Amino acid sequence: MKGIFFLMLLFFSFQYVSAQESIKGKIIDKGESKPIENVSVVLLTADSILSKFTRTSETGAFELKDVKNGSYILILTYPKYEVLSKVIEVRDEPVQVNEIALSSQSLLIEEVVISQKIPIRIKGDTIEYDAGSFETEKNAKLEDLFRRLPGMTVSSDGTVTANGKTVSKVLIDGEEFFGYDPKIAIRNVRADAVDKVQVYERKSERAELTGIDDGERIQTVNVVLKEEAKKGIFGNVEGNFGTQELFDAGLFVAKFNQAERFGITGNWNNMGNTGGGGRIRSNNQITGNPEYKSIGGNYENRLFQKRMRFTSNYNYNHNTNETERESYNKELLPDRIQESRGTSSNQTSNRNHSFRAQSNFRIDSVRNLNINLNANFGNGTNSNRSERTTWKDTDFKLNDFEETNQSFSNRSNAGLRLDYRKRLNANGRNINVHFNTNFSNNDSETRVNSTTDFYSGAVLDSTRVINQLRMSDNSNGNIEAQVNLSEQFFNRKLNVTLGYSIENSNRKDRTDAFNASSSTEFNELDSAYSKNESNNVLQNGANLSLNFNTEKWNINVSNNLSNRIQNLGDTYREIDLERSFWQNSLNSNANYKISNSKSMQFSYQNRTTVPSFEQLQPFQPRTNELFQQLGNPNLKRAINNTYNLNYNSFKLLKSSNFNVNTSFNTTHNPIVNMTIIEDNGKRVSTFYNISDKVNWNLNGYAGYSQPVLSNFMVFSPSISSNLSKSFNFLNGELNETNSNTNRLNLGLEKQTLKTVDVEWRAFIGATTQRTSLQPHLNSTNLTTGTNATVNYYLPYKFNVMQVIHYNLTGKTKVYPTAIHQFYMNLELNKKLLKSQDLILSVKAFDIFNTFNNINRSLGGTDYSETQVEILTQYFMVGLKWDFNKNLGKKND
Amino acid sequence: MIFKNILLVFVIGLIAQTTKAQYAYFPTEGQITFDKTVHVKNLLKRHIASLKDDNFSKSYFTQILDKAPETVVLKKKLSFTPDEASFEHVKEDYLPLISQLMQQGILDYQVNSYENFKTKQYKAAFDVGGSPILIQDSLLKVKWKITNEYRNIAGYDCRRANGLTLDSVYVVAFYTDQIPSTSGPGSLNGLPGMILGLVVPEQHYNIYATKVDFTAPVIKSELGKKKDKPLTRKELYTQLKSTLGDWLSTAQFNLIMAAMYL
Repeated sequence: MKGIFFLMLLFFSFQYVSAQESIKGKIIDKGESKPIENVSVVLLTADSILSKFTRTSETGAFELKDVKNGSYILILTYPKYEVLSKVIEVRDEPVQVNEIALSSQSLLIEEVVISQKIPIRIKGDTIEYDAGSFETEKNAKLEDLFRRLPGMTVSSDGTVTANGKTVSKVLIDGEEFFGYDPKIAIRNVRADAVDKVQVYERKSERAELTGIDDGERIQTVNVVLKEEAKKGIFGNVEGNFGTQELFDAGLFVAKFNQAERFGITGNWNNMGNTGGGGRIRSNNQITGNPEYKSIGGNYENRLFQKRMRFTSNYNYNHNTNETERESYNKELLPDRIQESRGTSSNQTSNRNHSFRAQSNFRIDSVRNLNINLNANFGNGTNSNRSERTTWKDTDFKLNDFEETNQSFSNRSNAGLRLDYRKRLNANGRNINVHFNTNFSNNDSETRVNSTTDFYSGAVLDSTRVINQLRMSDNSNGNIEAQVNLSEQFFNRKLNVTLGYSIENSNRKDRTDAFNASSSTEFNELDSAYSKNESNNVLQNGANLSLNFNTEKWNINVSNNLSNRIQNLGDTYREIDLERSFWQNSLNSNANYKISNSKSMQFSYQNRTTVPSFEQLQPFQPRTNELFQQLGNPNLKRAINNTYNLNYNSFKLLKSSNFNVNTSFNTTHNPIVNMTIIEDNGKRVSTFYNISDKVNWNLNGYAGYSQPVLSNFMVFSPSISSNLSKSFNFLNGELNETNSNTNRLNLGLEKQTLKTVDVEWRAFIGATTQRTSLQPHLNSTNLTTGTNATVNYYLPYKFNVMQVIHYNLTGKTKVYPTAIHQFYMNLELNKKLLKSQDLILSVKAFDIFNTFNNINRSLGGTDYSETQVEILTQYFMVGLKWDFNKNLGKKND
Repeated sequence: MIFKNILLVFVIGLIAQTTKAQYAYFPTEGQITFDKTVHVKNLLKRHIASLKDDNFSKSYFTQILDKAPETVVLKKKLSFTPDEASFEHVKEDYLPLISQLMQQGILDYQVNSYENFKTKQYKAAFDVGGSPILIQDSLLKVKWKITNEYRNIAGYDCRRANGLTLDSVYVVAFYTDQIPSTSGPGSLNGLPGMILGLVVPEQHYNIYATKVDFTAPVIKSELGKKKDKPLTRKELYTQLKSTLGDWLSTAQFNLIMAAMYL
């Protein structure tokens, strides 16, 4: 009895003794080696919960008593000194911390940030990121910053996606910067100049200016610069040289002075891109022998005592290429198998100038005028030689086709948009007048020489030779005017706009095809290949738009009803058609802000698809003997309904982001193409309405991202699913296709700029296609792939980057072998100079030469394979210099 | 001679002080004036949301909502020494509607409180519906999580801590290392430095220090009248629930109690 009691006492005392320990230590000043009194010593548990705290005594000593076993973080703070944190483990014995030396802030190289920053917040329908909360490397550019933002991804070719939608516009401080190519801003504007990044959906330019929603949405990213970044000069110069005489040289210089921004950019490369050819993250396969030269400039400023905002940009580029291609195509039709095989070689050369200017003029406090001007002109040459053979059921040759084709073309285009708005009273009544005009002209001269041999039962039946000179002249003119009156009700919560619009467009398309009358003269007009088309449309419309705005809700309903009178004619075919349509287009959307971090959007659109000229006109000119397009003048319009539902949320403390996008689309009375293949392989195409069927399409996407492993990595899974039913004709018979695609994406990234950084993405998906006419071809096709970019940070400012890409497309009944694609790129670079502004790099592309250069595409009933002359394995050496004077540097 | 010695000691004493003063100055007693900003409209909306549809108070509150101002600023004062602190409401002139809401116990209880950090004792005195209440209990227990965010309040760099108290009430506090006191506005305490900023999201108010001065403070430790019976927080909760519980929904009752305890 006594023994048990004694044991229990020992047990309890042991527990008591071992459960609580003390932590002791001493703090001194690093610079002066003197003890510091009153240093705040705070003990936190591993999840930052406050456990104990104390202050150092006169001798700099501190003691925390009665600390239970476990892992803790010790935080030491003192005004104007660095904040030091240490991990402490308490395990059954008192902890004596070694003497800790605190450095005063004047000794530290970096500033301690003392401001309140929230990394992500939702403001209305905009998601705003605080750039300073996301670390980037020195000289990092916008695209490197975008890669860090949760919910945003940048693909290998520079396309930015935000919340599942592709970004088509990148603005700097609300204005376009080199607006003709968003990649210029993303690849050259510095990340350290950015204060905030805002992501939102903008309406089309016309909808924004008139207030009448036309349903078009442009996913936009606006980069807000820091105050100190609005003044300075920055830019970069880069040169890359490689094996096979490859090179890529580029230059970018910009000068910012508050509202005045000036930039020039230039690039010359033979790698088949518009700049940035030496980047190992991109798809770097070079098709043919390309050459690209471009120069561009951007100027913007505020003029007339800051009442006018003016933006302009100019670009010239010259693009040439020579390519060779081999292709094979197989179609499985209900009554036969059709195959064709051919080769082609092509040379093109294009020159283009484009100019764009925008000015927003605030005439006075009630009047505003916007003027947009754009102009484009260029010319090009194209020559092509091709040959192709078509068989039926493997053994029966149907036709042989051979053609050489050479053309010269000139094109020009100019447009003007004027928008005038005047506020009529203090309650928000205003009037808006909108004017838009556009003219374009395209003319070309083509020499065609082709021979088509038709076979019947393996014996040559007939031959058709075409030796023509085709002169084409195409011109298009369009004038539109709109007047809108808006009024506001209910304390500015409701905005009602009523408007009238009138539009006249005129298109002339003339092709004169002259057959050769001798070896050098082309005199005989071949009417089968010529046309003199005119298309004149007069459209009158009325618009009604309602906009309701409260703190939580933003609801918009716009309806456009118009009458369209269309005159179609072709004097060469004695065609003179006149038709009139009533068209209605309804756009509605609602945005509900559930909280500061959650929002929901719903939209519904109803519109009619009116048949085009090619679909209506019965007889049309030919371009070759194997294809004929017939129109159907009895075509009626199709009606489209689209529903969209989106949900967005993120948790600030968890830094997690969740996004759901769904859409459902139906088309009633769809206009469907019917192509009949005649016995000799010639195709005749026409269009029909399928009046009793509905094409529909359902899409869903859900994506989530959150940091894992104590903020060490970010994990982002997403799923997407698509279900659709559509109708088409297979060689004249109505066919119903049901298809279902499901895909799971995973992403994992670690971007801490230390040791190794990884960006890994993988996906697995399955597509099922079932057709009614050929159920024996129904199959489920598996696709999977993975992509990884690994960055190794080595000592002495060396860096190794590795890009791995793998893709697998599973077999189907049409092509019963799986297709693999794999390549790996590698780069070694070193930062030179004390400022690390100069980078020397050595790159290897497709290092194991495993790139599969056969391009295969699989449909439910057809399969095609193309092999192009392509260069995938090569090596390059590059040098890049970044310069930055005053931009982003605070004036102390 | 003696004077010269005293002067010498004094001077040496002064020099000794100045050599230490190359480091920061840590005040251990003083007075802090706070501005408590209540978002009246939002608070009323929250009360409305906690009521059932047929409750007659709901229509009453909805009517008041239109007339109520967006915010109202009340003044509070904290006096502190190393061992004690007292917190009082500073009376000013208010709009009739605001006075009415304060009397109903919707806006602010004008709590005067006293804390003793040695004995871990807490005392508070205020009125509920005309009846005087005296709370005597231990210091309010708060579970704090320290973050890396900073904010400058009244000239002091304050670090943010997120706190959880009264089982489910979430608060955000900004404390400064430069004032080594575990005190703060109201009953919030337990951080390694003086709390100069406090936000209580569910009560729709925030309290920020406007002036910090280090004159000798007067600590008011005697609160309430002799005849008032002191209650612990739990006793008060049970007692009020039996009297007010019929009128108010649980959600609204908890809102009102939290306002009394913080």
